[in-house]
Amino acid sequence: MDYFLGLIINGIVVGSIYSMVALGLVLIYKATEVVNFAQGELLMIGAYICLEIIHVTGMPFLVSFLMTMGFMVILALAIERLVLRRMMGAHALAVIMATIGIGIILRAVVLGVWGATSIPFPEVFPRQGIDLGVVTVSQLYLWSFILSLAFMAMFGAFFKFTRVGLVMRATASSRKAAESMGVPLTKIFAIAWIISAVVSGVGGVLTGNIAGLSPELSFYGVKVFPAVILGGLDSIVGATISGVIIGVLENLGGGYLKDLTGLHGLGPVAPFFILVAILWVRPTGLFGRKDIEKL
Amino acid sequence: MAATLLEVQQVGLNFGGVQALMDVSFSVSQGELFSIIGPNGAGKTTLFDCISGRYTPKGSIRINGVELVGQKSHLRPKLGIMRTFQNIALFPNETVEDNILVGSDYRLRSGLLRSCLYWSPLGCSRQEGSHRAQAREIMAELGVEQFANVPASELAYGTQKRVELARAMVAQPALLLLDEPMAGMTSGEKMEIAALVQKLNQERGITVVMIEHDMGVVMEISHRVLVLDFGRRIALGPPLEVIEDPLVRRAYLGEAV
Repeated sequence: MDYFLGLIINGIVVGSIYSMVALGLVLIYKATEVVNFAQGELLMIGAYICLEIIHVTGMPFLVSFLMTMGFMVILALAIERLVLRRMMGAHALAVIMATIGIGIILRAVVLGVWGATSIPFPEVFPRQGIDLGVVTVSQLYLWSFILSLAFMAMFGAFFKFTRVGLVMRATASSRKAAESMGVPLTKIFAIAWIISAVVSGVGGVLTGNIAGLSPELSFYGVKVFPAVILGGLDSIVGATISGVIIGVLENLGGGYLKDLTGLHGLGPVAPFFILVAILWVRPTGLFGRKDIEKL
Repeated sequence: MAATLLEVQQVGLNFGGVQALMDVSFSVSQGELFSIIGPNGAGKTTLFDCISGRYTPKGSIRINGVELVGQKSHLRPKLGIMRTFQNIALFPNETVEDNILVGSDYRLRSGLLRSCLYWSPLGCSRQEGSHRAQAREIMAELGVEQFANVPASELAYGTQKRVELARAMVAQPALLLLDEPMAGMTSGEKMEIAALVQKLNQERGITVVMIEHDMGVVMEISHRVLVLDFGRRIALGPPLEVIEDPLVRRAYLGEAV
């Protein structure tokens, strides 16, 4: 029972990070109609930058963390200005290829600067467990979970209650109407990229804390896809919930499938099985709209 | 004659081999209620799309002497131009009030960071309040205030059309482009919208350019009418003159109206 609960809690923690990164992916898709294939690389670069800031400046984690977020903002603006804005009106596939290119560049930078070996993250949150009554949870996990939730709540509130949020929602539902209302699309796209890069960076730092740093972190971009597809590519709520579902499935799969089948590494594959099964029943995902193009 | 507000000169546009607009020229005076008619595919909406910046045509389009061709679409509201769409383009999941508030937005925008700070829930300013008041006022004028908190997609078709008109009005445009504001309405609803458009034109002094198929309404409320056929201007003048024009009669009879 403890083993089971442990897997579930592990899954929820990892899943909450997936949720956050999935939110970033959905946000860019909703605002710009482009699937960002560099999402995992943004996560990876965030983790490395945070580590580098800690090493070089010796500043406390919180300051380095905030500086990392600042870096992600600048990186997002650079990507938007230098690559995506120039491709306005280009075929969606071309833009997707460009994001793949950005991902490759970021990975090359990481390999060039930090190498391919895994680097441990300095301990920020103690790994000692806290007794929550039913189960003992590592403080690191607890903090990761709380931070992901806090970031998601913050951006949720931003979309729901601010004017920029309203304008972003409006732009996602009809670009031509938003533009005719005086909404500068490029600014909205830039904000979407900024938020998306920041949440990915945060996800990277948290994941790095849990698992250490390696270029493998970029694989998170792929891992987040089942969450996004499961939730419906255009649903922020869906992505958030599905992220946790995928995290839990992955952990349960990793925990039990090995014993059942004698095969290693089935954990990360498990969500994809479920994904395919769900898409048979609901091709637009659990929360996706049926008719994305209405007019 | 009042001053010229909108000046369209030798506007042309082709899509591939199709000449959608050819050498179209006309001007609209301040305070005019100006209609554009023509058979389907005559280029009416395309012309609107040129004015509102979706397409970049050849030729020149000026508002108050400012050249529009080549300028970005989202700058139109700043120059006093707002439009509605033939197939309603509301934001379906947002409430009527929020739909309208998006339209009052452009005046707040000066620098990305500043606007973000400005719009933060804490910094909700006097201006935010005055925008809401303004939105309420417009909703009341167009008779949609009871739907302020209803998502746009839940409204009846005719009401959605009104909301779209309200949304265009909130930016206090000098020029209102209405693309078939009465399409698909009952004759009663049409009369109401026609009266509303006339009221906005007369009482608020808004210049209106309207694409409309209902000839009765066009004849009754327009000051002047432009007729397009196959992307060309075939007539321009007061409604009664235009309707007698042999070219117009041929275009419409050939089209089996």
